[in-house]
Formats: sequence, structure tokens, C-alpha cells
Amino acid sequence: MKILNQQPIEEHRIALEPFYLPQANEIDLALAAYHEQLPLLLKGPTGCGKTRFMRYLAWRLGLPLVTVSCHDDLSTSDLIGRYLVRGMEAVWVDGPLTLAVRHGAICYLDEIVEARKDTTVVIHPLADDRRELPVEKLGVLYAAPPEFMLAVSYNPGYQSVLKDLKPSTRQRFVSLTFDYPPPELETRIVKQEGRIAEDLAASLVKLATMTRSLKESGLAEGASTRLLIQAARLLQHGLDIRTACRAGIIESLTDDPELLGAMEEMVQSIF
Amino acid sequence: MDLHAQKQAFLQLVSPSLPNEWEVEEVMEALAGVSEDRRRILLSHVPTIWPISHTLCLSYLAQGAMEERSCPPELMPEWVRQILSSYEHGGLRGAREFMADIEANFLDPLRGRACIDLEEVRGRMVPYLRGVSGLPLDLIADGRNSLWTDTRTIFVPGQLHLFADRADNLLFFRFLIVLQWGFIAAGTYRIRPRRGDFALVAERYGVTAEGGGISDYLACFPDPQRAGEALLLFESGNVARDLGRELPGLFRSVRPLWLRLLDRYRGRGGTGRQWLLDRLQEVVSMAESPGGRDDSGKRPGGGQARLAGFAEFHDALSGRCREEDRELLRLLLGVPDFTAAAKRLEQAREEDRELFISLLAGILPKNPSGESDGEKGGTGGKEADSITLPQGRATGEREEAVGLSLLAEVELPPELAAVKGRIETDLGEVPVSYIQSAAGLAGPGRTLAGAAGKDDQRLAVDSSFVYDEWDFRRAGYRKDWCAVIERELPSQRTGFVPLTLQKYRGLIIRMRRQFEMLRTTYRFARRRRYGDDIDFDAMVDAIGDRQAGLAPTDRLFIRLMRDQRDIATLFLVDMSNSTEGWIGQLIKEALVLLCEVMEVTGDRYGVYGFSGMRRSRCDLYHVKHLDEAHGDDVRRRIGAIGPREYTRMGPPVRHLTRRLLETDARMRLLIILTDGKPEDYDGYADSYAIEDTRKALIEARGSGIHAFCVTVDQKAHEYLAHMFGQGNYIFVNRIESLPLRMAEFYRSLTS
Repeated sequence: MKILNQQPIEEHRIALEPFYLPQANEIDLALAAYHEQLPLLLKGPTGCGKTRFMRYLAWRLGLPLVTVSCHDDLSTSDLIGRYLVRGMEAVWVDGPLTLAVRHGAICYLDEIVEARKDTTVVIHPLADDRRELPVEKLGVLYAAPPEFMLAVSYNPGYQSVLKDLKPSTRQRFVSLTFDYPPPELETRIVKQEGRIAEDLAASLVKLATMTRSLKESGLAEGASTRLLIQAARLLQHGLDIRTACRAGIIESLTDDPELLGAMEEMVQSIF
Repeated sequence: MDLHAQKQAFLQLVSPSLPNEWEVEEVMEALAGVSEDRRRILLSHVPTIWPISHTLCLSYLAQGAMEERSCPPELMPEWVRQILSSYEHGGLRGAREFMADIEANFLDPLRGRACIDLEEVRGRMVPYLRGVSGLPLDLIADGRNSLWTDTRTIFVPGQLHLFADRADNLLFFRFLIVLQWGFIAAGTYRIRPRRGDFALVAERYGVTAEGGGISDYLACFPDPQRAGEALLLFESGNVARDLGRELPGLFRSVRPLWLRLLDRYRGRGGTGRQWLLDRLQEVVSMAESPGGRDDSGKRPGGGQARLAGFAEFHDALSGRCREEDRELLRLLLGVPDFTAAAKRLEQAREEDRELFISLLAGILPKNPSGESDGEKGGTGGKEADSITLPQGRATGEREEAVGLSLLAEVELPPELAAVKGRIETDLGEVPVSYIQSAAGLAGPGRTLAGAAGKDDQRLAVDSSFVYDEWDFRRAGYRKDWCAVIERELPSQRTGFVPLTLQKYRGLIIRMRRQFEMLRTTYRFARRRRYGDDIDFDAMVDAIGDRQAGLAPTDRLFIRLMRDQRDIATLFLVDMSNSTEGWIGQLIKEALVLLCEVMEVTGDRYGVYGFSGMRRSRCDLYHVKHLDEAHGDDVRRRIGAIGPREYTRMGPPVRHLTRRLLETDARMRLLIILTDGKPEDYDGYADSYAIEDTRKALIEARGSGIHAFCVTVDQKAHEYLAHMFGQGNYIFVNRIESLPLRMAEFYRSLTS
């Protein structure tokens, strides 16, 4: 039996320092969790920097980061691995989870609530003090090395009752709550990532803050930092600011004509 | 220009045609009476009209000369365009008829189009205002057609028509609203006059001044209303500069309009008006120059000398401006009502005080003796362990020091921090008495006034269901405290349901289709023992396994499966007195719609209404049981829903939790539809009611029920998140959209 390593773990290593400005003590918390070999749960609205934080953490710890975007068709084989036939030989291919466990990397399951609950159960033995991954088909029990870290993320803002984390899953993690950064910090982020002037970045952040207060008036979620950066990037190509905001931010938030109208007017008032 | 030269100019315009001499002369005579500018504008359209019809062109000139006053120059091109189009449709006669009454045929429809009706734009204006301000402000059409605010609601004229262009009117409308918010944000309504300010006006106007708030201060002036208007003008420059910094785009686009409007008033009136216009012009130019004026000590934070120079300013204004100048001032800056604002602020202050105390008490450590008959310690936060409360009575500075260090030590939850921020903006700092009250509340449990009154005997347990009630003050339950009685609603024959179905016919069809998609969620189930197609992934796995010497799986097929929705939902509808009128009407409409579309999903659902009075009678009205078929009886009972008594929310929530637990559904939902805070006659109010409801909902969640709330309260933000939990409620501020939002909410919850 041969174990085929199609995806060398080195590909998952992050060479350059990702741009990340801490919001609070999340880095200290994550480092403490890492040293105590505890898994991490990142929660927060979309586009507020969860994935970027994981990339930064991996870089900081010098570990490869294996990211899995969860979806409802994700099977346990997709996570753990499967046999494939090559010629007349069966070869085993590691799934991302096994890959990370075997090489002592960080395995990051993004949007874990999107995966079916029976799938997410496979992470349970990895997420408590056992820290082991049974691979039934190989008949092996991998013990995770001290470097291995499990991290999952989800967005508690979605109100669907069908998409929630099981308590048995949830209660294994150290939880880090993310939110949109405070205005000064967010301005710096937008300025840096969107490569725009500071006052423009501040205006974009102001717009985002305004849309975020519409949350209870029917807008599912306000503009994320990611959207602001997106709009800022559009500006690089000579588009005017109002067009960039319309295409890059507000149209991506809702289809409701009245909310769109209100946000359009916010854009006009700010720029 | 003499008649001859004018005629020559005209003939040149229409050359090479040679019109009848006498016809031309007649028109030229009419034109001789109009101003030079007007004549030039009228003649400029001749080359457009002449080739189409000579007679039309002459009629146009004759009519145009007559209508000099009514048709402003900027509307001339549009007038000509419409003349030509009526000529195309109705010939010469049609065009002449159109021209004959310029007011009715041209200007009125144009005004209608340009005019902004609040109701038309409210849907986008309210979210705009709330987004921009970050406050739950509301916008209401004022009965007296004036612009003002009580700091919670901005009252605006129902219609605005100042410019010929609709977009301009809309922009200006938006600006006027923002300016009102600017006064709220700058703290104009919260100015605290100093003793010296009072002394000054008392001396100046020979009145006795006692001190007090800004409305008391203004009352010292000979005409308080005029003084209020003067104060807005006095403040406007700084307010505009703050706003200009926040919303530069708005100021940039509104500036030309503002100046245009002021220009209309220029040239007429005396020097007094010029002075006023100059001051008003500063409003938009002030915003342009961020460093324009030294404002140190004039902002709310340093509010000490804020009224310095106001009395002189007031006198200058009253001396120079006449009544008609005031009209302009009122149009642009509004007609302030400082008394109403003071009342509203006081109310908000009181609400904040209560909320602050109850929230702070919630995180302070409990006195052990406080847990009387409670089962659990309750809500004490972990960070609260480090706090030591003043023992016994502390005095003076010590009290203050203890209070402040208390706040500094506690890591405040975001909700409490927000209230604290509001109180600090309002009063400068959190009064020590607030903290003491909170400490007192966190101490030993006290009996509830009213509730523990004369009906404090054990409840008679007969056909009713008896439930405990949570008393947050003692962090414990009151045993067997409330009786829930299930009642039948009279099945009424009314036209309500058919009418509603008729009214929302289109919407129902559309929503049914959307809900059908909920029912038929098909998905490919992989790795099945049998199915419609081979699961290629499974096949590869199996072949791989077999090669590797493992027993391959027999789950090799893909099957298209319909997801079984096993959901039971109970809707609990607030039938309290406050739902009387159109709120109740819309809640009922929402229920009718919901029942119609719920049928499509096949989900089990029930509907109950609740109201009641005192703990001994919490009535729960049956509209539809969970497994009852939807039919005429149910429809009639929905029709019979109406406002009754009070809103004791805890007991019905507990009762329906029990009902839901009796079902075997995999997913159990409880959706509450309400219009405000829980409240009952016997002291079930404010924090007590909110905490009990919250507890009941926590109990429901604890037993695996998902509880959500849809609320139509206009000013519900403060306590909702606390009561229902973040993300567990939606807030419908446009009540008309409730039926649609309600259905959409259910759909997003369960998909």
C-alpha cells in the first residue's frame, strides 16, 4: 500500500507576512491556545478578518495552513482522505485534515456550519485532549503532533435555525469573537489594503458604519471591511468614488430598492 | 428695442419665409410689453417652432408674452417641448388649448412631479436618517406642516416643493432633515445654561429667572418661540461645520440650491433681511471651511460659554428681521419646540437610568442572602468577582470615588457600555446615585410592589396551567405564580380575511411560489445503497479500497432525495390593548398571509394570541392548534383577534414551550409577534417584565426550542437585544411591510 502525497505540505506555508492589525487581544489568546494545544473557534460577521487572522497566525507560528471551505456536500472522505487507483495499484491520498495532522500544520475549517453535522463529528477526537485522528480505512490512529492546531470559523449572524453549531462541537473550542474593527483601525486597514489615501479610507469606513446601523431595519448585514477594500481597489482604475461604492459596496448588500435608495443617498452625502 | 427693429429681428429669424404683415405686427405689439430678457428667450425658440407651424409659432409668441409672470425662464424649454408635443397629438387646436391655461396644463402637473411627498420617500429616508445618525430616529409628517424635532422624532412638512426639479427637492428635503439631526447631535436641545446666562437675560428683560434647562432659559425672553428660532440660527454655523465634516458630499450638492433659494429673497426687503440672508449663507459656507471659526468652548463637551453672546444676537435678530423674514428662517432651520424636546429628553434620560441600573445590577455580584428561593445564582458575570461594593453608608467624596472605581473595574458588556456612553454624553458623567441604585438592586431581593399586594394568596389550581415567574431582584423564581388559561376566540364572521386575501392577491401568489421551494428542497444524497445514478466518488473509493485489500462499501449510488422538513412552529401574537388600530390590523393581515403560505410548506404550525390582567389570569387565545387543519374556522378566529388587556409575556411563552415539547418535531420554533414591551397591571413592568420574559425565553432555548421575535415597536432598540438575545429578533419599522417581512423572516429562519 502506498501513500501518495499529491499536495506537498510546503505549498501551504505562508512565506510573506500577511497584513494584519490586531483588534484586541486575539493574537495573545490564539497563541496561548496554540501553546496549550487547544482548538480555536472564530466567530464573526462576514469579511471582518477571520481568514486573514488565521493566515497571520500561521505565518507567526511558522506553520503551514490547510484551509477547507465547508459546504453541505462535504463528506468525511473529503476531509480524511481516500484510496485512489493508479495503474493496478491502490494509493491512499490524504484529505486536508489528515494532511495537517500528519505534518503538524494548522487545519482551518471555514464556515463550519455549512457542512453537515455528521461530517463535522470527525473533528471531535481531534478537538479534545485526545488530539487524535482515527483513519479507519488505513487502520491507523494518528496522534496529532504538538504543532497541529485545529481552527474553525462561522458567522453567527445567519438566523437560520437549521444552521447552527451542535453544542457538542461548540464546547470543545476556545472562542474568539471578531467584529468589524473600530473606525481608526478599519481606516488603516482599508488604506493599506485598498492602497488609497487616508481621508478617503475614513470616508469609506464612515459609509460602512452607516450601513451597519441598518441591520435591524432589514439589512441582513452591513458592509464588511472586505467590501470596503474591494471598493477602494476599484478606485485604482480611475472609476469615480460613487460608482465604486455602488458597485463595490451597496449593490452587494441587498436587492431591496428602498434600502438601496437609502444607501445610495448615504454615498452621495459622504462623497 | 423699437417695434420696427424687433420686427426685423423676427423676420430674420424666420427668413426666407414671408409671413403676413398684419399677423406679425399684432404679435410684435404684444411682445413690446415684455422685458428684454423675456423677449430674447421667447424669440430663441422661434427657429424650433416656425418650421413646424407658422400659426403655432405666432400663437406661442402671443401667449408667451402674456404669461411672463407665471412661467419662469428655466421652464421655458420644457413648455415649448410640451407645446410641440400637444401640437403633434391634437393639432393647432390642441396646442392652443394647452397654451391657454399654463397654470393648469403645464405648471401644476410639473409641480406634482417635482413635489416631494414624505410618504413616497419615507421608505428610504428613514433608513437613511438612521444609518447616517446611528440613532433610532423616526420621521413623521407634521400636522402643522412645519419642521421640528423632539430629539427622537423629526417632524417634517408632508410635502416639499421649492424647486422645479424633483431631484433638487429631494436633495433639499434630505438636507433639511439632516440639519435637524445636526441640532440633536450638537446638543443644542441639551444646552445647560449657566447661572450667569440666566442672570444676564433676567437683567436684560426684567424678569425673574430661577435657573433650569434650556427651555426655561428661553422662556425668559419676551417671545420664547422667537428666541428658540434665534438660538437655532445662533448654533447653525457650528452645527453645519460638524455636519459638513461628516457629510461633505451632501453639502457640496446642496450648496447651489441653498444659495439659489436665498437669492430669491435677496434684493427685496431691507438691510435686516440682508443680514439674515448673510447669516444663513454662512450655514453652507461654514461647512466648506473646516478651520473657519474658533469654536473652542462652544461644543457640547465644553458647553460652558455656549450661550455667551446669544442675548445680543437675539436682540439683533429681532430688531432687524420682520415677520416675513422669520418665515424663511422657519422654512430652513425649523420651528423648534424646546419644551417638547426637554420632555422627550427627560423621558429618554429616565429610560436610560432604569436600563443602566438594571443592567449594572445584573453584572454585580449577588449578595448571598439575595438568593432566597431562587434555584440558580443567575446572571453574575465572571468579571464581576473583583468588585467590592461600599459597605454601609459612604459619604461625599468616598461615595464618588467608589462609584467611579466600580465602573472602571467592571468590564462592561457592550449594551451597558452603550447606555453609559449615552448617559455621559447627556449628563457629562454617570451620577453616583445610579450606581448606588444598581448596587442596591443587586443586593437582597425585595418584594415586588403591587404584585405581592392583596392577591398574594396561592393560586387556585383548577383548569388553568400554573407557572413560576422569574424575579430578577431576588434571582429566583416565584413559585406557582401565574395562571395561564386557555380560551377560545369567538369564531366571527367578518369580511376581514377575504378582504385581506384580495388585497395581497399578487403577493400571496408570489410568496406561495417561494414557499413551495422551501418544501421541495431536493438534494443529491450520495453514497446510497440504491439510487438513480452511480456515485462516481464512492465508486473510486470502493475500487481503491478493494485494491488495497479492504472490504469495499456497497453504498455506490446517488439518489435524489427530498429533504423532510420536520418543523413545528407556534406563533404567539400579542393581543394587548396597545395593538388597537392599524398595528393590530396589520398583525392580523400578516397572520392571514402567513397561514396561507404556511400551508404550502407543509410545516406544522399553530397560532395563539395572548393578553390578560394580573398574574391570576393570563389568557391564551386559541386560533389554531398545531395539528388543526387550516380552514374557515381558523380564518374566522383570525378575524376575531383584537386588542384586549395587558402583555404579560412570560407565562404564555412558558405555556407554549410546554406545548411544543409535547410534539415530536425535530425542529421546534416559537415566533412571537409583538408591538412593544411586556407589561401587566400588577407591577409586571420595565426590568421585572423584561427579565421574566428573557428568562422564559432562555428556558425555552434550554429545552431545545428556537424562540424568535418580530417586533413592530418603533422605539424598541434598547431592550430587545437583551430580552430576546442578539440575532433572535427582527425589527419591522415600516409596519406596512410587516406581512411581507414576517413571511420572509420565517422563510429565512427555516431554509
